[in-house]
Order: sequence, then C-alpha cells, then structure tokens
Amino acid sequence: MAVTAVAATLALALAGCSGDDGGTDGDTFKFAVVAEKTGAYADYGLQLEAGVKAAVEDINASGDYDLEFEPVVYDCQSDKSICVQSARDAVNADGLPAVIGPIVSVDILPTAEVTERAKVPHLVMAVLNQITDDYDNTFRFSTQSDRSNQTVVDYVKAKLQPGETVAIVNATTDFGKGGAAQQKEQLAEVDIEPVAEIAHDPDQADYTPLVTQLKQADPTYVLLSDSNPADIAKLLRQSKELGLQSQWIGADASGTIDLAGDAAEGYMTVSPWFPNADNQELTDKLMAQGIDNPGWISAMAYDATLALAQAVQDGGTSSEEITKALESLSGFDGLARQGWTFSSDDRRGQESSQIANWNGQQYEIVWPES
Amino acid sequence: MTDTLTRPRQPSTTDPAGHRRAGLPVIVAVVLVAAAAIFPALSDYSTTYLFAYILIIALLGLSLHLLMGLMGVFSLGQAALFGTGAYAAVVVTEDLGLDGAIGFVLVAAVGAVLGLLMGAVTLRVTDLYLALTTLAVGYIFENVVRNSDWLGGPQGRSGFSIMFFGRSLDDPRLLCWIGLGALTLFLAVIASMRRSKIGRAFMATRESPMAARSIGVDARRYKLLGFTIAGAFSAVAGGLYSAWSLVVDPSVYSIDLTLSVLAIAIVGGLRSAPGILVVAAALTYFRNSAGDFGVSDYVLLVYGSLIVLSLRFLPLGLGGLASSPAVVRLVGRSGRRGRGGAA
Repeated sequence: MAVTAVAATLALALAGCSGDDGGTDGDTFKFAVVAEKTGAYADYGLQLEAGVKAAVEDINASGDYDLEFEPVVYDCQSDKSICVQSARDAVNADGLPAVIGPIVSVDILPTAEVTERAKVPHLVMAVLNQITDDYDNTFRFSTQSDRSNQTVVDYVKAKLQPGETVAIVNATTDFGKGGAAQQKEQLAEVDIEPVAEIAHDPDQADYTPLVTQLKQADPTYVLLSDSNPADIAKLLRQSKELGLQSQWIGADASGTIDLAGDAAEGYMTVSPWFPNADNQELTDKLMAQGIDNPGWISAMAYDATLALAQAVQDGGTSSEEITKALESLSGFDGLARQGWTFSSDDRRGQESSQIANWNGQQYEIVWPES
Repeated sequence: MTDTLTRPRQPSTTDPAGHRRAGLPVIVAVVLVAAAAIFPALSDYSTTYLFAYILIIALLGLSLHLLMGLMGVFSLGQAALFGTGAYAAVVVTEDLGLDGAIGFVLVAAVGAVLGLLMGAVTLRVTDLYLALTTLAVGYIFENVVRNSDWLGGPQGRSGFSIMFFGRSLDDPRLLCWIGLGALTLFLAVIASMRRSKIGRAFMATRESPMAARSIGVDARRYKLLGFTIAGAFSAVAGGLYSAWSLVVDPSVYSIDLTLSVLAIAIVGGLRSAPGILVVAAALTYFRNSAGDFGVSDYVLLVYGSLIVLSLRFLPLGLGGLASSPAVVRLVGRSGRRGRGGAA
C-alpha cells in the first residue's frame, strides 16, 4: 500500500505544470495582474482586468512611452490559496517587476506578503487600512476605509440640522463591524451620538424587525456598513415597503442598484468614483472592455495602470526603480481621480471619497459640493 | 464486506522467495521516496510550490482515510485541527521563537490533544450526529480565533517566517521536503497500523462496532487513538499551510476546505491511501491550474460531477478500481493469456 501510495504521489507530481518566462522583454514591459476573474468575486476581478486593459490600450496608443506595456493576467479564482500561488508565480517564477491586484482584502494580504518579501511594488484598490499600514511596498489606488467613513461623517455633519439624528446599521461581518466602529468614533469626534446602533447577521431573508426598530428611532440619516449587495437591496426594499423616511448612506457594493430596483432611488453611496455624464469618456473606455456597468474598481485600476506606466517611464523597469518612482509620484492626474500623491511614508491614496445619490437614472455627486 | 479480522499473510520464514517478495515493496518504497525527495531540487519554482501544496492537501486527505476509511468515523472536523495547527505553527515559531524542527513536534502535540478532545466529546454519537458535532467544533474554534486579538482577530497573522533547521520555509523546496517527510511518516504509520492489532481493531469497529465489542475490542479506546493520530497530522498539515500561504486567518477553519478534501477522499476512495494521493494531486493541480486551461468557471462543476460519477460507478473510489470485479476479471484473463502464450 505504501509503495503504491508513494508512487502515486510521485507520478502525479512529475506531471506538474510549468510557468512562462516573463519580465521586461525587449521593448515590452510586462507586469502582473492577479485578479479574481472567476469564483465568488468574479464581478470585482473582471472590473479590475477591464480597467487595466483599457489603460494599456490607451498607453500603447498614445506614443508617449518608450515601452509597450503588456499585462500578464493570473486568474486566482477568488481563492486565497490560488491568489498567493499566482503572486508567487508572477514575482518568483516569472520575474515580473510589478503587481496589480487582486481586489478582495483577504486575497490581497497573502499576495502582499509575497510581493513585500520579493521587494516588488504592489498596486492595490482595496479599502482595508492594514494593507498600506503593514506593507511598505503597497500603493493604494482608492480611498481607504477610515477616510471613506470620514467622508460620510463630514457630509452628515455639514447637513445635519438641529433636531435631526443619525443611526448606524451594520452587518456582523468584519467589514461591517469595522466600518461601524470607525463611524461611531468619527461621529463622537464631532459630538454626534447615534440614536440607534443595529447590527444584523448577513443573508437574512427578512429585515422587518430591523426596519421597525429604525422607524421607532426615526433617524434622519442611516449610515450603513454592509458590503453584501443582496442584503443592502433587501434593506432598501423593505424600508420602502414599511415607509421608512430616513436617508440611507452606504458603501458602493456592486450590483446593489440593479437588485434594489425602484427602492434604490434616493440611496446615497460613498465611493472613490462614480460613472456619470461628467466622466463619460472613461465610462466608454471601460465598457469597451466588455463591462456593462463600470464601477470604481475598474476606474481605479485604470488610474493605477496609468501611474505604473508613468513610474516606469520616469524611473525604470526594475522593481526598485518603479517603487522609487511611485513614491515620488505627486499630484498625478488619472482619468478617474486627480492628484494621486505617494511618498515612502504615505501610500494610502486619495484623501477622501465622493458621495452620490442614485436618482433612478444615474449617479449625481452630492459630496464634495462643487 | 471487507475481511478485517484475518491476520494478514506473513511470508514463510523458510521460503527465500517469500523473503524477496516481502523486501521488494520496501526497496521500491525507498526508491520512490528518494525520487520524490529529489524532485523539488530538479523542478522549477512554480511546480515545486504546487507540489508543496499537493503534499499538504494529501496529508489532510490521509487523515480522512484514517478516520473514515479505516475507522468508519464520519468526521467533518478536520478544518478545526488543520486551522489550529496553522495558528499553532505561527505561535510556536514566531512568538515562542522555536525552530520548526521542535516547533512542529509541538504543533503535532497540540493537534493530537485537540483530536483526543474531539474524539472524547464525540464518543457517544455516531453517523450524522458525529459529523455535525465535529463540524461544530470547527465553528467554535473559528469564532474564538476571530475574536482573539493576540491571534490577529479577523485579519489573522502575517509577517511571520517559519524556520526549519535555521532555514526559512519560504523556500518551497524545503517546504516540499518537510511535507514529504511528514507524508511518508503518516503513510508508514497507517501501513504499520493496518498490519497490526490496532488496524484490525479499527476495521472491525468500522464494519460492526457491536460485533467488535463482543470479541473484546475496546472501540472507544481505538476511536480516541484514531482521532489523536489524525489530529496530529492534520495539525502538521495546517502548520505547513501557514508557511505555504504566508498569512493565517480564520478562513483556515472554513468548511470549504473540509469539503474539498472530503471530495478528494471520496473520489480517491476513502479506504485507499494510493487513490487519495492520486486524486489529491490530480484535483489540486486541476484546481490551481484551471485558469491555464480556461476552465476555472467550471471547477465546481468538475468536482461535483466527479463525486456523483464516483458514487454511482465507483463507490469505493479510484482506489477501489483495482479490486473491482470487472478489473480483477480483466487482469486475470490477460494473465492467463500471457502464461498460455509463454507456454
């Protein structure tokens, strides 16, 4: 038995896979894109890939760069183990000098471990503070969680009239609990005490008790920390059915608007970027990559790729040169957001997010006020 | 019905040919282990890294072989043992500063104790209730870890480096060698147990606990022993996984891991270590390379189909293929034809 077992392992191991050689090849600069193209987070991963590809098309067509850019895309299937293996393949086996992605924090953390140990610059879009706090090779192309929550609190503080109140609702997930704790702390700093704090388990069929509690508290604003589009949609639908008048402000969870239908009208979302008439050019570029509803992930990936190209152009093609060039990036204007600025001490990305109201047809930016 | 109580045939002490037959498998095993040990030194980085992961999954698969295949205990608690091993490896090597050579012995001890406890709390339950109880242990541990700040809470632990004999397990070749050592040891333990009183007691209990008790087999004691051994090796697999993934977080307790390893064990054959090893390698390779073949959208479809087809046509899994009547007839026929031709 033992002999057969060992033979089985060996035979199958010998039938293993092999990786392609990569890195800078003549006039072409190759970089890694590790994305959740399939699996549970495929919506996010496909947005990431579309943003990178749209940017690469523009970069190569512009004639402004000395090198052709070519993304090498690794589908990590929304599986942490495959994400870390893909990152190892990209930087250790294929020798690629920079990595973009993946999207979801739980996938980014192990890949950031890989890139940090290999001293490879890593461009990320996720909002988790820990990513840029703990890894000094990461560059965030989005707005980190506490800054997005601060944007919401700034909005509420500016709009809140005497007698009006605020409630906090959160999912009992890591994202939900962390967001609610940050918002509570930030509200306390501006002397606002929530009239209700309600946590809910994810994937519930009925949120009537929660909405009933909210109706009793009757807050003017409900700050929602939940990243599950289906749950947000259910909350919005049941709030409408039960006649809750409060204004919901929540995170940008892809697909929420479609799922909530009419109930999404008036829903306010905080996000680094919204597709609307003012940025139609970028929206069209992203849609040309096969994305029906471009969101902030694809827009941020577009800007990240532009910044990477600029860093390569300014600094060079090695990981060390790209890292230094990214740390020197100051006031760099992307197509989605302007003023990308990094340093060796601060790689957190944008200072603030935007808040938009869904009017049933499109997003209207309501904060910051123009 | 498997023959469980008959003592395995021993080679005749007066038959030199019997000695040669008994020694041959050992020589072949040594050659194969040596070849497997050389493999990481010769293969490229990606293949070596994937091989390390296959070894980790194979270790976990073998623990199911021991519990379910040999003992007939349907446990879904492997993720609890695996996850605890993953965290324990970080704690003993990073926080206590122990080298992995000692640290992994402690990790195995932690897993063994946890396995013993899991066995103890499930002594009075069987079948579905036992599966659910062991599954619940995983949920309890996941929740405790998620709410423990010193273990990193929801984000887990990162930034650690597990050393073995002063060398970092970041090197996938070293990881392979350690994993191969653990796997070989586990195989040797299982193989020797199968030939011993313990193995026969395991199988007797599996076939009929009542009949086993009636002939004096202390089923409870053997159940605890099985859980303890499976716990030790599952924890070692978890410890190796920490070194492999570089980050350990509460997702190591996820039921997904248990179910994917269970799928491997079912398709490979719960009672067949070779079958489990082949399928562990094949499915892990397929899962991790599905993107290269453009079939990553269909991974779960393939897993599901394999389980359904296996249960329908190969209830004993791939490992049962060799002993299936059709294959035995086919082999026998070709053997007779070969002898006839030679004559």
